[in-house]
Amino acid sequence: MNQNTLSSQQIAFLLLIFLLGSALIFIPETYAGRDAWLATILASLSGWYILYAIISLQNKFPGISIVKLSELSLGKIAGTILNLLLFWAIFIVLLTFVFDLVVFLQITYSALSSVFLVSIIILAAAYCLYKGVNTIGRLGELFIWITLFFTILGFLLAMPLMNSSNLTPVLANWKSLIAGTYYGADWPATELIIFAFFLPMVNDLKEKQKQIYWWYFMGVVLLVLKNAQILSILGMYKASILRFPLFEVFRFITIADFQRVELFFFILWFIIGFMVILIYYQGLLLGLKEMLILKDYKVLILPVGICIVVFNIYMFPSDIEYLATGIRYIPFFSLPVHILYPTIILIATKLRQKTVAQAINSLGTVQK
Amino acid sequence: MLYAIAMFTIVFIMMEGRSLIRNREWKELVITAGLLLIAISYGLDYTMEWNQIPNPTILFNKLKPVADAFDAYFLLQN
Repeated sequence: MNQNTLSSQQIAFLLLIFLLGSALIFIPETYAGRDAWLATILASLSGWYILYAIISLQNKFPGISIVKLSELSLGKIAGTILNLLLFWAIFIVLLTFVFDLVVFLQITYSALSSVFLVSIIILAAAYCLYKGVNTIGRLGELFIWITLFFTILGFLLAMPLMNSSNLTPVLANWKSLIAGTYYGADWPATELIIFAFFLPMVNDLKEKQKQIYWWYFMGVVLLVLKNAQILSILGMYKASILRFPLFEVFRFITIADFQRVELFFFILWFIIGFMVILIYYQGLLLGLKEMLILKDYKVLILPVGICIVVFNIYMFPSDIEYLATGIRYIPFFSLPVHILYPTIILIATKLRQKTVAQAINSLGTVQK
Repeated sequence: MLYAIAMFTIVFIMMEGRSLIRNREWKELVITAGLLLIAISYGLDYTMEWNQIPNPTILFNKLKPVADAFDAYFLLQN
């Protein structure tokens, strides 16, 4: 099989793993209080829009990277500036994913330093990236059923602990609902922009794009259930102050004489957390390769990897710094970039459709 | 941190660096060397506690007024 092709089904699986992995053990919408599950539903609309934008761009110009489309539709300078803004946002979001996974791992491996853990994670990801894009697709196929099984099992095990009174009254404060929706839209919904870099490699996008939307819908349903469950078990206050609320929920579960059930799920959370990093790392490399017009992204794997290691430690030396900057300020940069980037390109390609099509034909890169 | 940088750099030279030079792919070499240089600079700055290079978080801290206005309007507590 070609190392650089993917199927719509693989993208759909990766999408679900990404949705669950980037926000499985956290609730980004905690600002919405007990309406966090409602905020997830509203925020998912922005993710749907991102998917619509990148898929329709890819259907209109098959095989052409969004990075190239940006330059062709907006001009070299404006297009490059827009691309750089997106890459910066992606890099920062990637740092937050790595930081979250490291903090999570330090619950168990508290004696290991952050530098060591980040280096190990990045080296493991680099190994996968050297194997080609298709490897990530196949990893997605491999992990999807394990992920679904353990996610649903976890939900069922924690069900007896649920207390629905923690979810009422619904819609008591619409302002906090909007705030929660904003954070939920930033993380994880619009972060799906990363899949724009994978779509040119999908060989059956036009015929099977519905699969992607369906798996996205399924991911949103699981996120809503997860948020509602956490809130109903921990209550609004605890869910908002705990670093890993889902992890805490699983600590309450006991099966007969078995305790510490959460450790069974630790491997699941690590796998999907790692997959999220892998997807973002790969997307960033594919985008950089297009912008810098390189033959292969593989030369960038280790140099970008060491930048991730260094900037992770440099920018977020502690959890406090991370919570102050990563959680509080970054969404006000990343969300506008994630939404505006495909929107501007979508409008520009619509307005300059003929020019862009001619430019692509002259480049001789259209893949029919 | 310095051990990590050294390890990544050595692995890169062994896996990519030599073939880039052999195949005269200068563009790739310049880009990757630039990225390594940035990483080494920040790594040294952090380890030696020089604090001479601007921290990228400064860019995000400039968004504080926006975040504060957002919190104030939506009555959020931080």
